Order: sequence, then C-alpha cells, then structure tokens
Amino acid sequence: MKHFAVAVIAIFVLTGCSDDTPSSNTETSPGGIDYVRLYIPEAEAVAIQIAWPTDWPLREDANQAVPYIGADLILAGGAEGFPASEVVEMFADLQVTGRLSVTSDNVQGSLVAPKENLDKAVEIANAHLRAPLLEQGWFEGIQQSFAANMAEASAAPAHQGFAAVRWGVLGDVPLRRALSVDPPEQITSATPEDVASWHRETIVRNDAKIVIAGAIDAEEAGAAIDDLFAGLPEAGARVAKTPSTDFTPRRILLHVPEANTSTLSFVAPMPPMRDGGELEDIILVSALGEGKHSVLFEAVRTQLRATYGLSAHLDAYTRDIRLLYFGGEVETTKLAQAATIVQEAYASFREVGPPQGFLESLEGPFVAQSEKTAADPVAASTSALMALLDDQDPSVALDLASALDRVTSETLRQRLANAFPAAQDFIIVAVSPDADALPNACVISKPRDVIDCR
Amino acid sequence: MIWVARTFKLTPLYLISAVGVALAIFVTVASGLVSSGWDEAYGRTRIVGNAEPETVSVHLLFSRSGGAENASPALDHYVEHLTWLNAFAASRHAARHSNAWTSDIAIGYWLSGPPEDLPAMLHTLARVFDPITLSREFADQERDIVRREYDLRLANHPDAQAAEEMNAFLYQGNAIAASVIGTPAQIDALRFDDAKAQHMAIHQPGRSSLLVIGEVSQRQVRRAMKQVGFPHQPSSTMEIAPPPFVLGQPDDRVVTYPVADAAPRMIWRKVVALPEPVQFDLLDAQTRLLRDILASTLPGGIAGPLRFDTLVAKSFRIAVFPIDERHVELNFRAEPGNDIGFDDLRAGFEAALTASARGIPAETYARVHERFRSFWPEWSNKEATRDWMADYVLDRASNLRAPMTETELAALHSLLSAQDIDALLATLTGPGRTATAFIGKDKIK
Repeated sequence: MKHFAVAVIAIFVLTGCSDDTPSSNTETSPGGIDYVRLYIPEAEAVAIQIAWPTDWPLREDANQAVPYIGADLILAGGAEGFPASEVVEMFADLQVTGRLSVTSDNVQGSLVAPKENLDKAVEIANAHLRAPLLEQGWFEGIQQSFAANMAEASAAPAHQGFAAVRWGVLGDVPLRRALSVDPPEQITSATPEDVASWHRETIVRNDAKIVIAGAIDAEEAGAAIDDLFAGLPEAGARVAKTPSTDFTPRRILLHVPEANTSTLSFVAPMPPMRDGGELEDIILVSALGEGKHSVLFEAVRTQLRATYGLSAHLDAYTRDIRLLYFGGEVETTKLAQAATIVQEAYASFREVGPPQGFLESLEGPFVAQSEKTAADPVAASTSALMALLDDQDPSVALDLASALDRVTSETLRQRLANAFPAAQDFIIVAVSPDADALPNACVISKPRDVIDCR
Repeated sequence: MIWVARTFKLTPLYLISAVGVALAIFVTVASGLVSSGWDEAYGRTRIVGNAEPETVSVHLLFSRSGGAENASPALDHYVEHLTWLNAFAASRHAARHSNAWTSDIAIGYWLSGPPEDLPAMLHTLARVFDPITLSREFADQERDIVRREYDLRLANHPDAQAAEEMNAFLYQGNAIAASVIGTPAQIDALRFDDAKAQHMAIHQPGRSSLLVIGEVSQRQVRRAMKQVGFPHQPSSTMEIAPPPFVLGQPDDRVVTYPVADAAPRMIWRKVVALPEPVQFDLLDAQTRLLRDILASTLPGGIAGPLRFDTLVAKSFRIAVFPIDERHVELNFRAEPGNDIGFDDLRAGFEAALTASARGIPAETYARVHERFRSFWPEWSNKEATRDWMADYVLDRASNLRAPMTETELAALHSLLSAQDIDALLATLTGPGRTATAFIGKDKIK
C-alpha cells in the first residue's frame, strides 16, 4: 500500500511537471539548426514550414524564371532513391503533403504528415531537397507548360494593367522581371543547369527560418529538422538589395482595342508588415472592399451601377515593398465616373473609418478562426513563419485573438491616418478598349510605355 | 452570384446527392450530436451543428422548377439578384454577412451572425418571400449588372464558354442543359415584370427549405421563427428534389476555341447511364474512389501511361461524379505533352481509360480503398464530424437532396467493392454522350 501511495504521488508530480498546454519555443537542433517549435498537444499531424532566403529574383546575373521552374521540378521530378511515379503514391499512402513556392525574398517549403509517418515523410523530403533528379524530360515539360500558361495569363487585360504598374513603380529591374515573368524569353532560355545552380545556392542548410508544429517534443522536433536538412550545403551571403520604387501618383490608360471589358485599378504603397499594424490593415481593407456592403461596392455597384463588384487587397512586391490595391471590371462608358467616385469614397473612408459596429461584428468569427489556427499545425506554423519573416514573435500564432483585443476604433483611425495612402496618392490604371475612357490619363498601348508617363 | 455545382473546376467537396424521397428528413443537434427526426411544426427545417459557437448561418433554399413555362433560362438568376436587393440591401448589417446564389437547379439566400442575432437574421431572411418593390429603373440597372457579371465570368474565359457549350450538348433535353447566366442577348431581353412574376411563383414557403447551421437547439430555432413570424413551411405541399434527368442518345461532339494566347488544353467529358440505380451517397463515394484510382500512377490508373511512361499529357485533372442515381459524368482536363497534338492527346487518354476498364488490379484497389477512409472524418472526433456534417448537409440541401445520417455515412466505406468500381468503369467506357473541347492552338497543325 505504501508503494502504491508513492506511485500515485510520483505520477501526480510527473503529470504536474509536464505542461501540456500549447506553447511556442525557440530551440536549436542537435545538429545546430535554429527553429521554432509550436507545441499543439491535441494535433494529429506535424507541419514543418521553412523559408530559405534568396536574392536570386533581385540579381542582374540571374534568370528570374528559373526559381519558378525549379520549385516545380524539385517537387514533381523525383529524387535519388525515389522515382517520381512512386513518390506520388507513397505520399498518398502516408497522407503526406509537400509544397515548395517562390516569392521575391524567399523560397518557402512545407511538409505536413501524420505524426506516425513523419520519419518516412522527412526521409523522402530530404532526398528531394538534397538530391532532386532534375531530369531533362521533366524540365522541358514544366518549362513549356509554364511558358504557355504565362502567355495566356499575360494576355488578360487586368494582368497587363498590373504589369504596367510594375513598369512604372520599379522600372526595368530584375524584381520586375521576376514578378511579371517578363520578358517571356526568360522561360524558354532557362536550362537544367540554371535550375541546378539555383537549387545549389538556395536549398541550403544555413539561414532558413523554420517552424515545426504539432504534438511533438524538442527531441523529436530537433531530430526531424536535422534529418530534413541532412546533406544540404552551406550557402554564402546574399548581397542583392531591394530596388528603389517610384509610386508617384499618375493616371494611366492602357489601350487594348480587342479587350471585351474595361478594368480599373488603384495602387499605392503601404508600410512593411514588420512595422506592425497588420491586423488593423486586414480589418480596414475588409471594410473598404470585401463583401456587398463594403465602401467600394456601395459606391460603384449600388450607387453608380457600373460594376458587378470591386474589391480591395493587400499585396507585396517584396516584404519591404507592400501595396494596397483595389479595383475590378467596370462598364467602359462609366469608367471615368467610377474613377472619380472610387477616389471620393476612399477619401471619405480614410477620414471616418469603418461604419459603427463593423469591428464588433468581426469579433465572433475572428475569435473562432483564431482558435482553429491555434489548434491546426498547418495554419499555426504558417502564421508563425510569417511572423518570423517580419521579425515578430512567432508565438502570436497560438493567440491571435488577443491581438484583436488591442484593436479599437481609435487604433483603426490612427492606422488610416498614418499608414494608409491619401486618396490623391494612388496610381490609377485603366485597361480599356476605349482610349478616351479615362480623362487626363497617359494613354499607352503596351505596359512598358508607362515609363514615359511622368 | 452564380453557383455551378456540376462543372469540373467549381465542383464543391460534396457534390449533389441522394434520392428524391427523403426531402422531409430533418437533422437536428442535441448536445452537439447530429441526429435525425421530423419537426412536424416547422416542416422542412434542418438544423446542423458546427464547431464555431460564435457563428450561426441561416440558409433559405428554393427549387428552380415550377416557374413560368417559357421563361428565359437567365431569368432566375436575375430574380435572385433582385430578391437579394429587395430583402437584404436595405439592412447594412444584414447585407454585410449575406449573399445569394443561383445554380442550375436551385436558388439560395444566406445570412450569418452571432447566435443571439438568430431572430433578427430569420426576420431579414423572411423578406425573401415579400413581393419585389424595387423601382423599375433600379431593376433595369440590375440587369446591366448581370451583364457585368457575364463579362467577369465568361467574356475572357474560354473554359467557361466551352463548359456552357458542352453542358448544352451533354445534358440536352434536361433542365440543367441551360446556361444559368444566359447569353448577352438573353440577359438584355430580361424584363422586370417577368422577374416579379417569377419571384412570386418560386419564392413560396411551401417550396422552400430552411437550413440553420450552428450550435443552436431546435427549441431556439422554433422560438425564433415564431417570434418573427417566419412563414410556415409545410413539408407536405411539394416534394423538393432535383429535376429528373434523362440521357439523350449516345453521341459525340467536339468544340474548339482556338484562342491565340491560350495554353493548349483539352477538356473531355462523358455522361453515361447506369444499368441500375445506385443510392446517391454510395454512388458519390464510388465515383470519388474511381477517380482516385484513375488519377494514380498505380497499375490500372491513367497517370502512368499519360504522364510517366510517356509524356502524352504534361498535367491532367480528372473528376468522376454522379448527376443522379442513374447517371455518372467523367470530366478530364489535360495539357498536351511536348509535340503532342490534340488528336493524339484524346486518343492517348481514351486508350488509357480503355486499358483501365479491363479491370483494376486487386492490389491497386486495396491500396486506394484504404486511403479513401480519409474522405470522411474520423467519426469518433466529434468536432471534425460536426464541421464535416455541416458542409455535407449544406451541400445536399443546396442540391435539393436529403442528407444521410452519420451512422449511414459511416457505413458507406464498407459498402464499396472492387466489382462495383470495375462495373462503373466499364459503363464509363460504353455508350454515352461525349463532348470534347480543344482550347488554344493545336501543336501539330
């Protein structure tokens, strides 16, 4: 009986010691790799998110189409010991997903697996990161597919409008060529050797931001990270700098005689997310241009009756060059009126903020979403990685709701006044079959001509 | 807004469903568990829980059948626009969390908000039944808005244009063959008076279903309905079910969209009739399992011969789904491989499909069948089950079909068999109506 009592006490003490609540921990693997571990006790899956820094899209000596081809090729083309056709089925059996995507600042990878399959998933993923086959046949297929799809996308009027804005803001720099994938010859001139070179200098062991999330302890997490990065080379310093920008307000009309419809867009810069205020931005952009009673919808559809819908968005050329843009398809004969009304509606919105009750109406859904994010290793690790990339605390991923507590009508008003561009500070770009549809606009016939619009 | 349930790209997770009998099944939530039963007092009202206690959504659904005989196919979508404006637009709060849609068989309106707003949401939703009192000028302008929607969805989208043309051929003679949004000429010909009459014909309490998704009890919903005088929905006045479908004579059609800048691609669709009807949810599961087998690189799949052994297709997507208990559609979309023409792509795909139809190897079937468990939630996980069931019931209700219970759904995996999958595949390679769209320029012409 005495022994039983001791055992009970021991169990109680041990239970008390193990803190089984969600937590964020900054750790270093036995192999010396720094990472953030989000402990989510109820999670069945483990998610690993990685961001490898890159300056490839900013470099004059690089082909800016290569990262897009390379990311697809690594994923689809098989790896040492893992032929492409077998990997597809192995991942399906294991219920594993792996992704690789390209941005201007980094290459982002994710691996999600049930915890019991994590070891095998890591082994396969490591082979693809370390020794992808990069075979000629797969390369050519991806290259041609990319070229054909970009040609189609680039012909869309709205795409041409945004291409014109990039010419105006960035000029003919590598970043513009990367974002627009223009000129298209970048794609057709890329070679497997270019991809190998990009892979060698990008998918490396050092400097990556890493988050691992799930019901996983430090020992398991460290081992998984080491196995995932095993055999990857070390990279040298990245030196390219983000280019300067020119957001001088101007009115542009890209004349596309064969276009079936007209589009109207407003674009202006926003402060980078590392300065904070992201939640305010999301709420404000939602009030401005999301849903059937947003400011823009009310102005242009309900009042002017000129569109099926306008919407507002936040975007970024790089993590330092962040944008607010809004627009949509507009009836050609009402384009000029729409431009004026949008500008007036935005000016009024910036002055008075969202309507009364708007912030309160978001609270329930936001809290629910916050709880889901905290319980979901994929969502939580993604959120934490974004925070890391902006030099913020990754633990925010486990308690997004508390961030909403700090948002008030007053902080929204301050954000509008201090961070949102003034109504007259936007680049306005229309794409239309009617060259006269937007008065006082600099009329161009192809996107690059915008550099002459001063 | 238009919601197309049957097209390949926009197919929701839980496509179409069940049998025309079970319209009066009533699903409710008791302590977070989904169970079935009738609500005699309120007819076709369904309540299903979700895992978000802070939000309740209310959905009012109507069958499109029963309107004017010779009405333009585009009329119901215009009516939906006007009805939403008439019912919701005056309320800024309501409009912020609401929307409306028209599919090929139904019209739906929904609102969402915190549980305490349930009476207010039902009060607003009930305005859908009110006669349209918008000004003629405003209603005429809304017709122009529908034109803008057409521009947005179809004007520069050859895939969407091809889908409309293929629907008209594949479903010829059936209600779902008609375009929901219509052509520009049909939109321009819409008249406000016709819309008002169509609204009154379709938007009747006896023709509607109400679905409440949230952690609210049957008692709360009843009380709120009574409080706001929500129109009673007699469950016996009209059977709500998808329109009947009869497959036309076997035939084949090719449509081309040689758009200069378009990436070359082929869309191949075929509709076949089954020899015997199959319960809808079981058929839904069978078609999804068949799809997973065909998409695989395993023996019996088509990914090997098309993408890995030889590069006939650089990429492809495939879907197989039931139209009703007797009809199944296969939808295949592919980019031709390097130096592969459209004819070779089509021939390669059809040859691969024919080879698969010789019989799925037992090992392949067993492997994919085991994976297929993840199509359903872990039934022991109540939170995941609630979320899944909320989506599932909404889909079934939106498609005018009755949902199965958890217990019935949980039994489906064991009802799947290799013989049924082989039979389904054999039927898909037999007589039917086939439509093929070639978009972009043929590489070898």
